[in-house]
This record gives sequence, structure tokens and C-alpha cells, in this order.
Amino acid sequence: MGEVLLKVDDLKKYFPITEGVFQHTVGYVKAVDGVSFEINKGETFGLVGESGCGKTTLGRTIIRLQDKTEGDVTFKGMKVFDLKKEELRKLRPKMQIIFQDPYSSLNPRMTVGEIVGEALAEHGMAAGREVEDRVLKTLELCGLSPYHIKRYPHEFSGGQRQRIGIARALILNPDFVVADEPVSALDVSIQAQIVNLLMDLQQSYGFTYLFISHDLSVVKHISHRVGVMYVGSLVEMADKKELYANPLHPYTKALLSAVPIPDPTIKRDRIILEGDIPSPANPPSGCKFHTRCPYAMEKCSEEIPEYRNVGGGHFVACHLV
Amino acid sequence: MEAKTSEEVKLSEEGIMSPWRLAWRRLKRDKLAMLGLYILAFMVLISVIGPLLSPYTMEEMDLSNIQSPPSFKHPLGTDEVGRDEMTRLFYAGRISLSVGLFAVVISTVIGSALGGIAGYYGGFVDTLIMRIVDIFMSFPFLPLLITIAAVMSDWKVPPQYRMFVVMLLIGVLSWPSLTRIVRGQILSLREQEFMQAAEALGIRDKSKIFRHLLPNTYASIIVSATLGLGGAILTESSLSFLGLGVTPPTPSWGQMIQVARDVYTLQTQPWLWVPPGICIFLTVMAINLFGDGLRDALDPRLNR
Amino acid sequence: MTEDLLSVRDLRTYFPTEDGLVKAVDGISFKIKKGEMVGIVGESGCGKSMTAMSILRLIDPPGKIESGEILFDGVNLTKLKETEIQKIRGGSISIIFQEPMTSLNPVFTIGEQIEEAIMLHQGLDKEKAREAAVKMLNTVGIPRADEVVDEYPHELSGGMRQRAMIAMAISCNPKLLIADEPTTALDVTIQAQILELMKDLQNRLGSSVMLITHDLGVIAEMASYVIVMYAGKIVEEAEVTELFKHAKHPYTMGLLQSKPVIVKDEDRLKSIPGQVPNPLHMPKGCYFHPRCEFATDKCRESQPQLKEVCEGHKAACWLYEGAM
Repeated sequence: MGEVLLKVDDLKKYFPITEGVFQHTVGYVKAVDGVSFEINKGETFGLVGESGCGKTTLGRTIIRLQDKTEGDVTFKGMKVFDLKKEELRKLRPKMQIIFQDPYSSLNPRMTVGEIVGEALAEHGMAAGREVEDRVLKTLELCGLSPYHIKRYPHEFSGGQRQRIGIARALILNPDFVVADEPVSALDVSIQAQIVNLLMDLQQSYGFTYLFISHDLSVVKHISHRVGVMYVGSLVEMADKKELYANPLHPYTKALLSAVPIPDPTIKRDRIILEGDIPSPANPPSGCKFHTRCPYAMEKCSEEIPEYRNVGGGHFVACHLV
Repeated sequence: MEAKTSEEVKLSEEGIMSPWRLAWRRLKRDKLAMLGLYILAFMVLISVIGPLLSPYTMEEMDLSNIQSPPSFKHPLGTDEVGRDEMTRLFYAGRISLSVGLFAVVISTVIGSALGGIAGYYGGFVDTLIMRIVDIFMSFPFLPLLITIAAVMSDWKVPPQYRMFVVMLLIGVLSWPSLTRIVRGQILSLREQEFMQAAEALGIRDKSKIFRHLLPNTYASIIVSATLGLGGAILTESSLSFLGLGVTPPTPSWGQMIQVARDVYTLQTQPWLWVPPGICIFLTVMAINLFGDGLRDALDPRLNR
Repeated sequence: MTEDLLSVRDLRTYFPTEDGLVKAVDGISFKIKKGEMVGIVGESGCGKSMTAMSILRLIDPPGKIESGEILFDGVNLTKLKETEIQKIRGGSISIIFQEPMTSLNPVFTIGEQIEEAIMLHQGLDKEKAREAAVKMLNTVGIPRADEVVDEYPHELSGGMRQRAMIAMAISCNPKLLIADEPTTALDVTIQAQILELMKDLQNRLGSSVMLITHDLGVIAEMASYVIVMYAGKIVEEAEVTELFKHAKHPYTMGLLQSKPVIVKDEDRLKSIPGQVPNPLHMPKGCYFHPRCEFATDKCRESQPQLKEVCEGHKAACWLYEGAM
């Protein structure tokens, strides 16, 4: 795969909960609660989890769209959170993001050409005629037509808007792209188009992706390695094939068995979890999953399990393992 | 590559539909709004061209023909010193409309600027500006104006300058509501994902404000200004009627209605005060119809 | 058991708009038997939700049911007066929506909302209705039902709210339950719970269910018979295993190939090119032809009708002309 491009070290992001006239802090929403992993150059790291697991917050914090509470993020050897404002701004083209909502992520009053080409000019990466040339080339790579360049976002469908968003991110030739649920708001047949597009572009240009999604099937298809998050923590992480064939954490097992399969002849033993997903504002003690875990022991409610390598790059945080 | 759908082919053949063109198309379909626009255009036209076409001037007095009812020579009659009512009506239109317009321009510029600053920077700046807004909105509008009017009379300010003072007053006292609107817009726009995208792309603050935020506020500013114009005209009319705004010989529609304070004139010479009243009514009504239609046409929710 | 509970015949629901006529539902016919769970699957704009709204006569003007019949237990729903259809809504036909936060009234407690339906359709007094409501909440697996009955929607989680909606929907023992994307807004593990609950309830109550969704996995798990819709028309229908194993219409085949299957390994997803047509600029001929790899001249000229292509399996496609 290559060398390590991005290193996340015990990253935490807490949002204070305030009350009263003077807004004093009564607690914290522990959206990201100590997450560590590495992403290698040219790979797709899939991040899955359900609501409240913190995957979106993690994605945005990694590229410093949000401030951290604790921990470190090292990108190409640089500590992202040590950079000054202007240094960070200059680094931006190298780490990009594709958003989930194709409707609110494009400025309705700018043309497609302006949206895609704006950052090129802003960073002095191209000027005048060259900007338009590169915009046209990128649009074509993303499956759009040249005449789209003068049109406005509202004239496009969800799938096409997402392509515009992808073009905008990729025209800057980033080293690292956070794809935050890029296909969740799209129809199934369009999802496949966009997933194929992202994979093709990675093949041709060697982009590194952090692919965030709640859709386990899509994540399995596009990723090389996959991490599972639950209420702010990484509970398991492994090579794609390994994780889906041999899940070790009870949550991962339940998650995988819960996915409905579009094949009526396959009967599975489904693990149906009891209860609701805990809120990150009030997480359970010890192992956060113990309240719903069918195998929970006494130890699980008292001690937080260590996130460790159990062999072959397969990491789990569970007392049973 | 994707298959070309019939819809795509059609897109390449039609003209480019910018959000403004789209809004204009929607506006054209709104019959009431267009009616408002036509009436407003008509009022502006007669105010601008009317005086040029009239054989009389604003001050020309015909003392042999005072307070005469409508006739062929004077379609709207004459006033107490023999001036032609119709001509005065047209001139008054110029005054009323321009006072309203300039007042709105002043309040729009102040309001948008302050609202924009408050919304973008937030924190202390925002709090400070909003408290100033609160103070302004608690001002007793009318007593203040009466005081200023009295002061102007005392200082013997010439009538033609009084007009500008009135413009300034109305403008300066009505910017608070626009500030709130613009600030609210900026606050909600800031959270929109395309603003986060601008941040992620490394766009500088200046570009973010002028290329991303502001263009998205123009719609609400325009609507606010349009509707504010109606309010400004009404305010000017009321002030002039009370003798606190534009004073004779400068005519304004509100000022022309003043004659109705005399019961005799009220009852026997309706041609003196009814036409200016109708003019005010029609103009403000037209502005409101058009402004409402404009707001509906520019509503971004209809763009999906 | 093989009796038809619902029979829709050539239903057309049209919406006149500023830019033209939108044919949301464009001539569909299908049946739902007593006790059957029928899945209606399709992507955005296919008309599946509009079909459900039409059945319950919840179409807002200027849209309206242009023509067609909806026979429910022998009664034509399109011909009923508003007062008569109100008796049926929530009573013999009830509906669960996708977004429980917006479908539950935030200013009433869960109990009050369930009791309202019970008192209306079953004529019970407030006390008995409350008892019945608590019983319902228990049935749908809400813990501490006697406390939750006095709570407000915003105090419950997404999964609990959806259960409360289901409780409301089944409180009057409906003969037909319409579920419009009931689990789309829920997390995967919660979705599994709700689907399990729905299957269980259907077995116990014997109601028919019309399950609307875009998720083929959910359809495969739950439905016994499947109807596929595209651009306001039915393009294929069959018994569930038959449909998944031997899909005939190119759109259905495309849909099945677009979705990555978690238990299989694929190199590249086969995607359907293009997008769903703009309802104001529908293509001539078969609505799917611009995106179909098998399109012929005939497809570009005329619309195929829904016909049986093999036993119990219908498709609307010129490829099968002369098959039966």
C-alpha cells in the first residue's frame, strides 16, 4: 500500500453542554472519545457506525474543520493542530472533503464552473484560461458534460450535484479525501455510479480516502480496511475481508447480522440487540456496549477494554477477546 | 459516460437558468405582483413626466381663480392661491417618492452593513450591535420627530433643506429591522454546508463574505427594501400631514392632504384632498403587492 | 386466505404544476390478498408513496386521483365521501410513515395520540382507551409502557418513536397496514428490531401489509410478493424468490446488480447509467429506454404493457413480447 499518510492519535472531541443564564458547563457530549488509527497512502479506510458514534465528527475534526479537545493528528509528518491559521489554509488543498447532502453543499448562486474552479484560483494553482481548462477536464472525469459549466446547481439532480462536489474536491489534487456519507442521500442506482466513480479515480490518481458511511455493504465494497465505531470509540478495526468474515467484537457481529440482504433464499441467524443506542452525552460506564451486549460480564461494566492488536492488524476493544 | 436523457438534451438547448432568471419567471406569473409593478411604474411616470407636460408650474398663482372646482383648464381644480392642483400633484409625487426612496436607501445600507457585521463576527460585536438595535427600536419615534420639527422651525431651516432632513430621519430610524433580518440570514447561511465547504477549500475570509455569504442575502435585502419603501412613503405622508415633514411651498402628497383639516374644505372641496390620498394609497398598495410577489418569487425553498 | 383484500385498478393520480402535468401514478393495477405482505419497491419519483396516499385519499389539491378504482373489501374508496373515508383511516386501513418525529404531534403525549384513534374508531371511553393504549405499547415492545404513555415524542428515541407509531397504527386492528419507508430513517440495529416486530405483529394479527421501501434487502426479508415501480408505472411484479432469482425487467436487474451484497465479493458494481426522468419531460415510448442497455426501436416508440411473462410473474417490457 505505501507509507503512512495520516496518523490519528487518541483524538477526542467533546462538546460542552451548558445550562442557565450564565451558560455554565454541566456535562459533555463525548462525540469522539479517544480514537487512534493510521491510514496508508492510496488506501480507502472505511469507517462505519450508527447514529451518535461520532464518525462524522471524527472526519471533520481530522481535517480541522472543527477544533479538537485532545489528541493529535499527523498528516504527511505535520501536526495538523499545531499549524497557524494561514499555514492551515495553505494546506487545505491537500486534504479535502466530500459532503453528504448534495443540496446544501453547493452555493446556489454560483455556477458549476465557479464552484469547481474557485479554489484553484484562490490558491494560485492556476490562472485565467488554465482554470477553465482544468475545470472542464475535471468535470469530464467526474461524468459531467462541458456545457454544465455555466449552469446553476438547482438544475441538476442529486447524483449530478454529488459529482460536482467530487469534482470540486478532486480538482485540487488532494493527497487525502474525507468522503462523509457521499452516497447516503442518493438513489440506489445512482449510488453505484458514484461508488464506481470514486473507485476509478482512486485507481487512476491514487487518492487516499476516509470513507464514512452507515451502509455496511457499500463500505465493504469500496474499502481496504474498515473500522467500526460505537458511541465515540473505535471498537474494532481490520482488513476488510477479515472484518466481515471474522468479526470479533459482539457489536460488529450484531451490526453485520442486522444488515438485510437482498436475497430471500439466504437465511441467517440474526442477532437482535435489545434497547437503544446510548447517547454520547451520557455513555455507559466501562465498555460502552455492555448495556446491549449479549455476552456482557461484570468486568464489562467496570473496566474500559483496551484497544489492542490481536494479530495480523486486527484490532479489538473487548474483554472477551 | 452517462446515457444522454431527453432531459439533458433539453437543458443544453434552453438558456441558462440562473436563480435570478428563475425568480423573474416566477414573478411574471404572479398577476397581482405584476399589477403592483405596473401601478407603481405608472405613479413614477406621472411624477417624472407629469410636471414636464403640464402648462403650469408648481408655484404659478392665478388669484382670479382660487379654489375652483375641476374644469377643463384645471382638471383637478385649484387651491387657495390659485395654483393648479394637478401639477402640484405631480410635483408632490416626485417629492414623496424620492423622500421614500432615499430614506430606504439609507436604512438599507446601514442595516445591511451592520447586520452583516453582527452576523459574521458574532460574539461581542454582535451583542453590541444588537443592543444598539434594541435601543433604537425602543425610541419614541413620534415625539422625537415633533421635537426635531420644532427645532428646525426654530432654526428657520429653509423648506428645501427640510426635505433632506426628513429623508435622513426616516432612514436613520428604520434601519434596525433590516439589521435583524440580515443578521438572521447570515447566521443561518453560516451553518449551510457550502460555507463549510468554502472553509475546507481554504477560501479566505474576504472571499467567503463577498462571494458566498452576501450574494445569498441580496434576496431578503431587496424584499425588505421594497416593502420598506411603502412604509417610508407612509411615514413621510403622515409627517407632512402633521406639518412636521415637508412644509409649504414644497408639496408632497401628505402635505396636500393637510387642507382637509379645515372642515369646510373637507366637505366642499374634495378635489383638493382626495386625489393625493388616492395617490398615496395606490402607491403603497402597489408596493406591497409587488413586494409580496417578489418575496414569493425569491423564496429559495421553491428552487428544489 | 386467498381472497383479495385490496384491488387497485388502473389508478391515475396527477398533479398539475406551473410547468406542466406531473403523472405521479400513471395507470397501475395490483392486488393485495388477506394476510399477505406485499412490498412495493422503487426509487425516488416512482410513485410508490403517492400510491399509498391515493389509497387513503390523502392527496392534497391541486393533485387528485384522475381515474381508477381502489376496491377495499368490496368498497370503492375513490367514490367515498370525506366523512366515510375518515372512518376507514386509522381504523381498517392505517399507515406508518418514515419520519416518526414529524408524524407524531409534539404537543400531545404518546398515550393521548393512541387513545384518540381508539376512542374514535372503537368508541371506548377515556379510561378504557388508556388501558388499551398501554397494552398496545407493551405489544410493540416499549419498556415501562405505563410511564411512556404519559411521555412526549421528543422524550423518546427514534426507535421508540417508530414503535409508538406502530402502536398507533395497529391499535384498531387494521385489515391493511401501509408502511411507507418505516425503517429508512433508523439505524441498522434498530431497523432489525422494528422489522422483527413487524413480522411478529403481522403473524399475530393477520393483517395485510403494504410495505413501501427503496431497500431491496428489506424487501427480501419481509415481503412475500414484490411490485417494482418506475416513473409512475409498475414495471415488474412477482413472488419474492422468483423476482430476486429471475428478474426479467432490465430496471429490476439493474437495481439488483447496483447494490453491493455484504455476503458476496464483487469487483465492480454494475450501475444503471443516467437518472430517473424528469416527470415533466418523460421520454417517448418506454420510460426506461434511455437508460436501458437492451433498448430497441420499438422501446423508443411505444410503451409496453404489464403482461404475464411466466407463471405468476409479470413484466412490462418489449423483450418478452410473444413470451406467453
